[in-house]
Parts: sequence; structure tokens; C-alpha cells
Amino acid sequence: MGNEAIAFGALSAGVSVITGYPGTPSSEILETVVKQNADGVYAEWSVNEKAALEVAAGAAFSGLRAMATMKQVGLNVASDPLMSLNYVGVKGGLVVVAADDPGPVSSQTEQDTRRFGEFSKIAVFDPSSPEEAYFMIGEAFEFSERYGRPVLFRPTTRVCHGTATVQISDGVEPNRKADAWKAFGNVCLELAENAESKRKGNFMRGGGERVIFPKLAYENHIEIEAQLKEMSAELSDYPRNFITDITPLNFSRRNGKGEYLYGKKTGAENGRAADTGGIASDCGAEVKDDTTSSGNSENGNATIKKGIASGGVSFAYTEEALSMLPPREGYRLFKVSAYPFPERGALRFLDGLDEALVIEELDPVIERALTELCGRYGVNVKIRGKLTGDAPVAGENSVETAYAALRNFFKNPQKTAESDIIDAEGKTLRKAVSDNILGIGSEPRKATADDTLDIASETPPALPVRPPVLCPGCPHRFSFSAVKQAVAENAGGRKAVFSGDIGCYTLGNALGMVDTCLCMGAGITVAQGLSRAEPDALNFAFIGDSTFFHSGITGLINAVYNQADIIVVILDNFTTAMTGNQPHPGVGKTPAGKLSKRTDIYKIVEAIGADALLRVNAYDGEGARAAVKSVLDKKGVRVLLFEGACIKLKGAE
Amino acid sequence: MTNCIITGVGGQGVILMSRLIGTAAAAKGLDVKGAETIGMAQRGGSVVSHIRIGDGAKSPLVARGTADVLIALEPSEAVRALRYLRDGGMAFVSNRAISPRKENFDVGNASAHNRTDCPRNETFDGDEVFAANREVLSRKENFSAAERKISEETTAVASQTDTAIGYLRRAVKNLRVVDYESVVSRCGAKAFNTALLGIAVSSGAFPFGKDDVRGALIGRISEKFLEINLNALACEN
Repeated sequence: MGNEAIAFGALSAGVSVITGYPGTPSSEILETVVKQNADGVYAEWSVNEKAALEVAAGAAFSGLRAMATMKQVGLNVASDPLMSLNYVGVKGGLVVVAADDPGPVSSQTEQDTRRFGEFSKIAVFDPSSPEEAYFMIGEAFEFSERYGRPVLFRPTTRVCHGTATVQISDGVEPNRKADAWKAFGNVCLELAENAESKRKGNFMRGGGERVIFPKLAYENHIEIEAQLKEMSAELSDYPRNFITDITPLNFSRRNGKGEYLYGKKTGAENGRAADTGGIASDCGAEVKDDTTSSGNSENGNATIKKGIASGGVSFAYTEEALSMLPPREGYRLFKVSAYPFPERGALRFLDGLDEALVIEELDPVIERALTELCGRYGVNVKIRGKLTGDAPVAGENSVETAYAALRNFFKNPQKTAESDIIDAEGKTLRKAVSDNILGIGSEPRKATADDTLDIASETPPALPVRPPVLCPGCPHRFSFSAVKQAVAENAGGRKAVFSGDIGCYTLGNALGMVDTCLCMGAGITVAQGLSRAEPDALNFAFIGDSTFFHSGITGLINAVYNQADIIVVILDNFTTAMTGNQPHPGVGKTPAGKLSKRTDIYKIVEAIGADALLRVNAYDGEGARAAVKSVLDKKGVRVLLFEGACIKLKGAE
Repeated sequence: MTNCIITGVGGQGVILMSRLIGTAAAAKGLDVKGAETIGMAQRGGSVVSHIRIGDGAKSPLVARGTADVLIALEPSEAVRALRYLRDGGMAFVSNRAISPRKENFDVGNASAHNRTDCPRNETFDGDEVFAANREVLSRKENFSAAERKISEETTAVASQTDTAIGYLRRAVKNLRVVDYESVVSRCGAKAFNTALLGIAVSSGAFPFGKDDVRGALIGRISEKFLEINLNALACEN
């Protein structure tokens, strides 16, 4: 799994402190680190992403390599420390892993962390596969340390939860990537100390450099802008930001499996020479991998008029779609793997082109950068992509979407079985995939001669819709049931509104028990707003235990202080269930399962000063209904703590 | 290169099956790529795993119309995933349909709640909570509604199976319908996924054999469940 590759890559790069808050698709990174139980590596589930990043920042101030992991919306929570941290800088490499979720598969937004990089003026590394992620995370640490700035690392769901064979090395090699970069003529900082001796930090007091004051912010802003230029120039020669020309001449220069030869993997070198392969010759790099010569001699070839730029997992889709087409004319391929946008490299890419198509997920970041570059340098290249309607603006990319965009871009005719891929000797390498089969512009799979019967005219049977539901025996279902019944029987015709929150219990939507769901911790506060607008209604807020610790406590204090009139139902299932049962402060265990201190939710609520507080057994329907009933007619902030262990814990323990 | 799609309903063992395939192929020295459905959709939703074995794969996802093998633990999910199968590709499909779980307030199977362990640490004072849980759960009448519902679902499921399997028979030449009841009677329900994988492997669907899957099982399955899985692997339809 890509997340495991990121964890192993970080360990191999000598990470000493790793923090995070669970969030799909990022959670397995920290879990993998914990499982390795590496000597001298500290890992924690922090109470939220802001705390996680701040803990990591402290470690990095002291010279250690630190990493904070979260999902993309978690980065919103951590954005306060993130923005300032760049101004303050770091000593040890600090990598913030924020996993994006195109689709979205399990998130509230399709936000793009690359834009966060632009906004916070922080470099972003964007791996396209688990193999690349394994190596790139080490490069990100090296980069961060060299510039003294935090770095964002942005895998997406298909990289995080994608699987691949990755050759990992034993032990810690903090200098490995520095060596790889040297091969490409970059000046790399010598990291003389070995990682073991770096496990102890040493915070340098007295310099004031980690104290953010307006004057320092101004000075550092100037330095950051200068560094961004320097970074962009350096990244233009970054082996993973590469350009390759493919001309009709070298179409035949494919291996026996119909792939182009650039970027070919070479067994044990998998991901190293291999992943850095395919570098255009004008990077000034001496490429040892002989399979990467494809396209080098033709780079800058005046016959090439079309370019394709891509990055992340979309690059893999693009490569595969190109091999299915393949275009009848030459083209230039630009892989963008790290930001700030490599402008010098991009200008080389644009040189001599008529038009360029950008295939990327989430926001049109590459597309905008190229468009801007054309304007600034007066380059007359038409840039196409999401902004011009040439690629889908939302949702996940796939080989199919890349194929559709590319076919349109190259104006290739409808594909038929006759357009098999043939090598130089006329041997069929791979049967062409027809448009019909790919489902582009037509319904899914049509029957062919291979099938027993023509089903082209037959409509497939209606298929069951399977929305995600709460597990059998889930305590949340009992809790929702109790609240619903108690309200139905005792509300006396009053309207009841149920504000939900983020967690398994969002699935209470299907039970009619979730009317709002905004973001982590928002249920309690949204309910306050609703009750200000509609004081006669009964306003319930449901929140899980982990979410309560994450960002529910402040909302509850806000309610008490401002004398709100709401009923807060805390659904305590003693775990962070949705993301895979991670512990939290209310569980009193470390990520490794060792005993820790436990923070009692009941006592917190008591201390905050709720007007009513009841502990309820979630499975005791009768008792729970009575508890709800008892607070319905009271005023003020009433809190019901429903306790019932997650049904999944039974297997886990 | 072998492109493979594994599909089923969350909880049926799709992820385990795809990991066994990945492990078995990797042990053979083959390059493996893939992608799994993890997270929210796993909770009773449709689950699809993509696996690509051999050189040449770039993307972790199998493109439509390019899968050589389709293994489905549920017939309707096989129909849903059919768009991935290439012409002439092989499909191995269980004939046992699973009705979608319609969310309701039924509380499910009583035994599921009959837990005795405490997930918190020793300082936790919630033992009473658990004692109360058990007491409430022992009251049978709480679950009669759920049991009634299950019997109603059984009839619906039968017709769903016939429709889906009928369609698959017309659409796929290399189709192997695996009878759930007959396999389970010999290997137990717990390891049906492994049994189905064994059947696909012995049909030559993969560039590895049962011995490789056996090795993967030994590396991946806890001792408690290893034997039933090894038995299931040996089981032939």
C-alpha cells in the first residue's frame, strides 16, 4: 500500500517524530510507522491536525526530522500553524503529508493541497505511485532541511491505497536522495551526521528566529519569495519533473510489451534510476539508464506541435491511455511532480508547441501555471484542460477519462480492433482496445463474437444500490433510535433538528437523524446558530468521542458561555471507528496499544458547566429514552453522554 | 500481464482475496499493482479491488474492457463490474446474492453485542455500562423485528440471484458459477473467499498456482483461521 511505502520511506529518511490525526486516505502511514516499532522513533495520534503539526514543528525546530500526517480537510485545521511555520522556518526537515481524495471517495471536499502550497508559499511534492512515493518522501525531507522550510507531500487516494511492489532498503539512509540528486548536477547539502545521532534534538535558544513578529515576518517574506524562485529553478531540473519527446519515429522503440521505453523500471533499481528515468536531455543530466534514451535526441524537435502535461496518478493514466491510442503524430510529455511550479522546465516544454493538454485531478494547477507562463513570456501555445472544457472539472480521473481527453486532443478516429499496436517488425504487441469497450461515448461493454449471445440489446438487470450503512449491532443505531422515539413521543409537536458531525454516525443520515454535517466539530456550533434563528425548535447535536476531543470541546464551551439552548448527544464508542479504530485521549492508549492517561469526557463536560449532564448506556433503549425525555423540557445546554463500545472493537481486542 | 477485478459486498473478504493474489504473485517475482476500496464504502457497500500482475502496468486501476479475470463474491456485483471484463475474459461468480442493507432501526443479531471485554484501560470505570449492555441484550424481544426482516429478505434474494446469473450466462462465455451452498458445506462459510480464489487459480486464471496462494495464506492469516483457509483452498467445486 502507498501509505506503507510513505511510512517506510520516511523511516529510511531518518524521521524521528511523526504525528497525525486519522483521516482516510492517510491513516495507515502513522499506523505503519508504529508497527515497525523503530528504535528512537516517536509516533503519536494527536488530538487534532493543528496539534499534530505544532508538535512536529517543535521537533523540527530542535533539528530532528519530523512528519505530520492528515487528510486534506485536516490540513484546513492545521492551516494556522502551517501558514506561520513557513515564515518561522525549521531546522530539521519537516514534511506535512496531506492526502487528497479525488472523487471524493470519503471526504467532504475535492480540495487540492497543491493550492495550499501556493497559498502558504510552501513546496509540494506530488507522487504518482507508491514506488515513487517511497523515494520522494526522502527527497522531500532533504529539500525541506536544505531550504529550512516545511514541505507539503500530497499523495492522492489511488497512491495512498494503491498497491505496488516496492523494493525497500533496510536501515536509515538519510543521504540517499542527496546522492541521487548529485548525479544530476545539483548542489546538495552534505548531511554529515548519521540519522542515529540525529535522534536527539538541540533547540538553539536566544536567536529569536522562531518567534514570529511582524518585522521578522516581513524580512522572511522577502527571503521566502527569493527561495521560491530558487526552488522553481532547482525543480526545473528535478529528475521527477521531466520532459520527453515521442515522435512517430520512436513509436517502435517500445519494449516487448508495447510500452514506451522511457521511465522503464529495471528490477532491483525499481524506483531509483528507474523512477528518475526518462529525463529529457536538456536537463543537462547524464542518464545512465540506457532505456531512457528514447526521445532525447528528438527533444526540441520542430515537428512536435502537441504537448501533454500531467502529474500524480493521472500521469500513470495518461501514459496508459497514450499506449492505447497511440497518437499518429509526435508529442511532448511533461511530468510535473514537485512545486513551486518548475517554470524554466515548463518553458522548455512549451517551446515550439501549438497546443498542450493538461491531465490532472482536482484543481487545474498545472493548467493555470502554464497559461500564466504563456501570458508572461508571450509564448503562443494554446493550453487546454479543465478550464477549456477539455477535461472533467470534478471527480476522479482514470485511464478512460484520460483516453477520452487525449483522443479528442489528437483528433484520432474512433478506435477499432484494426488499430492494434504493432512493433517495427510488424508483430502485434497488444490488441487495441476499442472505444466501445472503454465505454467512451457509449454504454458499457457490448457483446462480441466471443460471447454466447448478443446482449447488446439486452438491458442489464436492475442492480441493488448499496449505500454505506452502520454495522449490525452498532451502538449508534441504538442511540439514534432512542432519541428518535423519545422526541416522537414527548416533543409535543415541537420541531426537532438534528445536527450531525464527522464519523460513522454521519451514516445516521439514512435514518433521518442527520440534518446538517459541515466539518469536524461543527455539529455543536451549527446547532447553536440554528437555535438562535429558530428558538422554538429542539436543536440536537450529535458528536462522536474522537471528534469531541478534536474540535467539539471549544464548541461546547461556546454554547455554555453564550447560554445556548441545545441538546448535545455525545456518542462515545471508545474509539475512532470510521478510520479504522485508532485510540484517542478518551481511550487512554497509545497508537501501539500501551496504556496511557485517559481523559474523561464526563468530567470535561461537568467542568465546562453544562446545565444538565447524563451518562447513558446506548444499548439500554428504555433508559436512553427516559434520559432524552428528561432533558427535553429543560433549557440551556443539556449533554447526554451515550456510551456503547464500537462493535468492531470486539475483533480488534 | 494479467488484469484482475475482485468484487463483492463490504465484509465478504474482497480485500483479503486481493492481498492473497498480490502476495502470491509477488512471491513468484512478478510485479504487482493494484487499488482497493477502503473506508466509508466498506460498510456494506460495493467493493472493488483492482489487481494487475506482470510488467507493463502503469496505473493501479484496470481500464474498462481490459480485465482478464473477474472474481465476484456476489452475483449482482459481478454484473456491476462486468464492464471491466475483456472479451473472452474469465469470470468466477458466487451464486449467493446479498440484499442491500436498508438502513433501519433494527438492532441486528443479539450475539453480536454479547461482548465481555473492555476496550478501555484498567482505570476505566465503565464496567457497569457493559454489564448493563449485556443485561439489555439478553432480552430477546429486542431482536424479533430484525429476525422477521431476515426471513422476508430471503425470498427477495432468490429472485435477485436468478436474474443476475441469467444475465451473466448470456453475457460471458468463460463463466464459472460457483455454488455457494455446496462449497460452504465442505469448507465452511468463513473461508468462502479463499475457496473461490482456489477455484479460479486451479482454472489457470493466474500466473501462479495454489501452492503460491498457500504460501500467501501462511504469511497473512492468523493461526486461528489458517487451517480452515488452507482447507478451503484445497476445495474444488
